[in-house]
Amino acid sequence: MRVLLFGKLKDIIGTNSIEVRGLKRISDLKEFLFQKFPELKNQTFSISVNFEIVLEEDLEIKENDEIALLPPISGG
Amino acid sequence: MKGKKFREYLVYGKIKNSVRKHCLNCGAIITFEGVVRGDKVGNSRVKKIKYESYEQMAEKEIDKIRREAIEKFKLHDAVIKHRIGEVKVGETALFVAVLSEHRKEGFKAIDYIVDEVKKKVPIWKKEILENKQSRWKEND
Repeated sequence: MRVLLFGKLKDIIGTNSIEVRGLKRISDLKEFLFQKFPELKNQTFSISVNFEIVLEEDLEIKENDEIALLPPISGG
Repeated sequence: MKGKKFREYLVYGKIKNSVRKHCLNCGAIITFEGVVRGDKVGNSRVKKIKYESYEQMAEKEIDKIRREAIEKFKLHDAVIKHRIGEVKVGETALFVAVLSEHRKEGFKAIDYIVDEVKKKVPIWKKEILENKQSRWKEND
């Protein structure tokens, strides 16, 4: 599945999307991300699945879901 | 929304004509423009802001805020447009217009909409300074 990155996070990771495979839940995704990009541990961000912010760590994620990491928003 | 299309929304004539024809009990048209400030940063100053959005989610959130505001403040209509890309100091980044029967609920609605946009719409700003440095900025 594709994980989109925005704002500051895009600069930190150095790309606007990453492909991940075989992850079943949000908690797996977080574990994977923190291991691969330890610098994310110091960042505040929310996770959206199909354009909705999700708070449940045990939410299941599917291969065709669109996931995004959203740093604190700053529009206006 | 990019610059050229965005600027069309800054022409209120279209909105006003539509109100006169279709909303005979509308007593107020209130518009708000959020403008880029040339804040001082260290020894430099903000020259422009680069806005980036998660477009599909931003559109969805803006639409939700618009519908909630119409319902909550009994508006006849509301328009919310955020400009994306580079916006220079003095230019408009956010445009909001509301049509209401009386001015009071209109002013309240403007305040509500701007607060909600700043809280919920996935848009991020990067300040570009006159000394060419840049930094991601968070809302206060």
